[in-house]
Amino acid sequence: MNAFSPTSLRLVGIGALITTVCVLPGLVKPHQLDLLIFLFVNLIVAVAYRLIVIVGEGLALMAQRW
Amino acid sequence: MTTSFAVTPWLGMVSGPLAATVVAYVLSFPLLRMRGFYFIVGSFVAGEAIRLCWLKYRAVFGGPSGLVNIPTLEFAGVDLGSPVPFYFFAFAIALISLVAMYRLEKSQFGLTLASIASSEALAQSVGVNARRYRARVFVIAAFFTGVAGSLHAHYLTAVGPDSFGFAPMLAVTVWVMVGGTGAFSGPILGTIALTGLDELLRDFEQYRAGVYGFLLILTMSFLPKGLQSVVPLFWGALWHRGRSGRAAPTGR
Repeated sequence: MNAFSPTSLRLVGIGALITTVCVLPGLVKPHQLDLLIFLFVNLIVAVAYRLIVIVGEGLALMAQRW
Repeated sequence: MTTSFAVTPWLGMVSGPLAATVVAYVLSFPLLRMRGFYFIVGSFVAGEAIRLCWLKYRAVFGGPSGLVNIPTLEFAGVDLGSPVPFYFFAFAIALISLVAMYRLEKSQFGLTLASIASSEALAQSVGVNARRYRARVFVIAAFFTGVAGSLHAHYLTAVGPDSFGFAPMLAVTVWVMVGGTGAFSGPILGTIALTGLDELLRDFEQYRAGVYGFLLILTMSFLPKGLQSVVPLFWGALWHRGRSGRAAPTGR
């Protein structure tokens, strides 16, 4: 399998993500851990907002069209 | 529920998204009659109305101080009120939510939504009820936002009216605009970039709004499709590098 094939890149990406997520709490300061928790919360909100955008509504889409 | 009736916090965790879903369903009737700019103004007004209701009905929502002393979650004897266990819990919930929304976008339902955005008249001509689909996606988005709100409330053990004002709505819009709306990765990139920026600006709180505004102008001027438009260039370079590294066929 080519090292740069989509499958191998995907596997490497998933592995890197899981490793990073597991290791981060031991490396960051307490306030940065809070920030990471809020990042996870914010990610859900932002992607949920995009659901509105893909149906053709929302300020973000209007600004991009403008 | 968990503060007034002393029920298990997990019930509060589940009822938060359900409450958001019900409120969104009710709001979808007036809001989805509006289109474009009017929809945006309507949704901002709805958020502000919720904030004012929160301030007015102290008995239910706690007034300006909000709901406090929300009990923390506990799972298999592990107190999720501590940062590290909650970090893994929040990651798991975020991962499940993102995968669910990704699958939704790639499903037939998501393709129908894209067709409505592309040409509503054409979609309606083949029997798609655009208004019903808009209402459904509005309610689904509210459900996931409710999940995020429940996580937020149970971690901070408090939720106040400031969570519903103009500023949080604008912040979400900026994350999505900086990241781009053209691909699923757009809002993820925007949120990660601006959360990282928040950390860099931690000692310069007074400049944050200005920096956000400047970044927004830069994005709209030079990267109108957002950060996600840069990612294919990066992957393309990596892909071509990989292909050029392969041995050329000799024909033997």
